[in-house]
Amino acid sequence: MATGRPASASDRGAQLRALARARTRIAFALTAAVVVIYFGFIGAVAFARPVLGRLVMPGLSVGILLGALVIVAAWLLTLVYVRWANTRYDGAVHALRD
Amino acid sequence: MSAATTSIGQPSAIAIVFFFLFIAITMGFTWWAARRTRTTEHFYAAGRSITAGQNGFALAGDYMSAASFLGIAGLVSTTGFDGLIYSTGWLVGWPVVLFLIAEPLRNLGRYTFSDAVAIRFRKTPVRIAAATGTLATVVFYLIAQMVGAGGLIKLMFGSIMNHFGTSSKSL
Repeated sequence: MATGRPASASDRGAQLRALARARTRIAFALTAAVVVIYFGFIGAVAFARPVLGRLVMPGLSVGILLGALVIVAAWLLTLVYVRWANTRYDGAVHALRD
Repeated sequence: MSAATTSIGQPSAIAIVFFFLFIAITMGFTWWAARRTRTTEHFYAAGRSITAGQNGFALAGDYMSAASFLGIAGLVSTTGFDGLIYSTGWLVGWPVVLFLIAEPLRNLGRYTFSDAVAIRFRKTPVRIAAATGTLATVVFYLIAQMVGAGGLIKLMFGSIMNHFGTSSKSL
């Protein structure tokens, strides 16, 4: 990672790399969360059908409830990313550009 | 009981009028938008004039395709609520696209995935690979769409043909 550039430029380069690392970390963490939630649900559909077939209340099974929660979780994770991008990431990018 | 079994597949003037109205409006929008398209930026991003909310509606319209309306509705009607698990799979793909692809695309100022990948690598092999993958996906997706559209057309118009062709007593 060592460069022969002037101090200020390499400083900005280090900041840029740190920001890129932070973005990659967040993106992969959120992606991993989506993958775990979704494949957890599909795994449950495949291997734990009797559990999913149990009724929470008349007309609503555990499976339907979990499916709806998967969708809600996808929304929430999107919200987390959008909040992070709007409050931290975009500001940091603009600061680096100027 | 009898109403539910006989209303499907019967010609309905209202449904047919809405069908043609919908096509006319869609074509009108397409014609209007195509005349305003001048550059790549216009074509892919509407000249950066679309707000996040408008873009959200556009994505939602994209998502509510034949698969959602016909496919999942059909699965639920034939296999029960088991068919609903397909709707989670489609939705869950969108956040992953947002997390992994959206930001790099925006940072590079590109509009398609192959454009973004081609920046870093040799362009021709990347574009060939991207085009092959895209066409393979689109062909199978299109087959499903065509089958869905054909089923819809048959439901709407096929019975009219039968109507005129075979029975005179109901005319």
